[in-house]
Amino acid sequence: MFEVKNICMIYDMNTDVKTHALKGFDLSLPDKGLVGIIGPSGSGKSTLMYCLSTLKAPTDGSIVYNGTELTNIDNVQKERLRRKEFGFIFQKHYLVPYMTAMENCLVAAVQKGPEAQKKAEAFFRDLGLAEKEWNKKPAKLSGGQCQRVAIARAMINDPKVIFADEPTASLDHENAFNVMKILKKYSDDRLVLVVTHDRSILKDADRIIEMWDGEISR
Amino acid sequence: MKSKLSAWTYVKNNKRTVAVLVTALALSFMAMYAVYVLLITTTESFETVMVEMPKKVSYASLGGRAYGLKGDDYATYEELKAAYNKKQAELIENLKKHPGIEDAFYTQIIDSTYQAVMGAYSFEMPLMEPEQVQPFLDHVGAKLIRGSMPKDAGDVLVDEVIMKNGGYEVGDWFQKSWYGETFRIVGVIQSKCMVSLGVPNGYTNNGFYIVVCNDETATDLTGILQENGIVLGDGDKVWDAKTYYAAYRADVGDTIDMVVTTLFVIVMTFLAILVLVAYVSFMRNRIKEYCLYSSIGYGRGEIYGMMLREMSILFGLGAVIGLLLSLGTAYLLNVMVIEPKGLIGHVIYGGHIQRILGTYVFLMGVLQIPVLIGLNRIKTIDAIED
Repeated sequence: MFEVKNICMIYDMNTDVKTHALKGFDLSLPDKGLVGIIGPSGSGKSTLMYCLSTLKAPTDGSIVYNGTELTNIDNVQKERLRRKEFGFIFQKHYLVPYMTAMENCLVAAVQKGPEAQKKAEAFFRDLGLAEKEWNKKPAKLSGGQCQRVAIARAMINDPKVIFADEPTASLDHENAFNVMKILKKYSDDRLVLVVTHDRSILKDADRIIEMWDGEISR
Repeated sequence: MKSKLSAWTYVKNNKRTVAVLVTALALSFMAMYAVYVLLITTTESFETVMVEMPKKVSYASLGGRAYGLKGDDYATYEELKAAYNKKQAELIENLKKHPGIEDAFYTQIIDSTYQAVMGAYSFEMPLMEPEQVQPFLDHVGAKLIRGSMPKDAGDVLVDEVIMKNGGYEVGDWFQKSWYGETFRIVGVIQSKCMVSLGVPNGYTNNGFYIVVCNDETATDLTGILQENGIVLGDGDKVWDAKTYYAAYRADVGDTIDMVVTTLFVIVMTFLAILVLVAYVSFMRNRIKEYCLYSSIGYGRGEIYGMMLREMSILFGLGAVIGLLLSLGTAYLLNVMVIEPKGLIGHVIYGGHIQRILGTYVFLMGVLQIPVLIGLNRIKTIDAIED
């Protein structure tokens, strides 16, 4: 699904002290499966994920997604990809504070309407979010519940790839493993890319990529 | 259903914030409209006297020079006065023969006062003999609706609007602060041109005028006098449709327009600053939300579209509620303040409503500045997390 060649990312390009977040490596990712990217803070794992998801443009190198060179497409095409083919779970859940759990999920839906509503309800049930929570705003939900809403939001368009950046960072162990279980299930026929520094949540991962100082170490 | 960022979600879930913004807009609308209604009643009320009255009655006060008379040509004042009276009588006869003039006579006048919300206007009220009253009333299309016709010296008939305006009752002394116990109201008349009249009761120091009973085809008394060889000088006064209208524009219309415009600009400036500050803070609070939309694939155009739709809903609600409040307030002002004072006002002033709505559109235009600045600040979540 992804073919990465010699990817480089340099921050602060216009200053004397440049930061090499990604130092030029190749990487190939499959169409499905749970892939973990692990490494300490500053190892470049989040930068790699953001480059793959078009949120960042690499300084150099090539990223081919299903035959499309992502470094050559314009913003509109990138937005379309993020909208229809990618799903995002951010470190902080980034739910819109004034929206209910259901509205937060549906805000990402490409096709809104009763079908999207039904789909969101099904996701909420699968994720163990009780019906009484659906119309609550994020401030009234626990961290785990918020993250489940964020996962449902990421899945609402049946994306081909889910990018999850530290999806369990704000959760206790039980909730963290539940979230990983859901992502593992989703990865049966799609690609789920999980960036974390917590190796324990990746025990069911199909592949683990270890990063160190902007390079793949293993 | 095509995917679009809904503007209603914010409105529905932030009723308090929306209510504050909508209320501010609606109250500003109402304030601007209510002030206009109160001020414009002065223009509307005075218009009846200064625009409608000259369609029926005109006045002229002419000195000897207007008739071509020079004091040096006469040995005594009596001779000069006799010549003046003769010329004046000839002029009055000529005026009576002029098409569109039903009658003309020389008589004393007193002043009638009409008090509006802003300012007062004094206008001519002819005095005449009792037998002249009915023909005069017939000419101006007035009818007696209360009391009786004047019979004795000092009896006056007052227009019903002036009765209300001055708080008079039949039997009261008219303009007592000016004329003392000289003119007593014996009847109330009703007409379109707000004419009042009375029977003389001694000399009142307001002067003597030629009163011309004209119709709408002969409202240019200045021109008619010039046709009759009258040379108008600085000391001569002619109150006809043209001079009344000029005075109406200068003393009333332009002044009120200026006050209305000034107040309008002040209120709108404060409103613009208020809305601008509120909107900047409103946008700052939501910047992460916009970043999220951008990250999950919504383009800036779609986010901008949502902002515009939200703004349109806020301004639309503000305008609709403001309009309803304005019309309600205008109705109450008319019932409680304007009509009881005998002033003329309306509930709906379409032109002013359009002006306020136009200003709202202008304000929405001004708000594009913070919106576009905010739009440029939108990043994706990765940039926030870096």
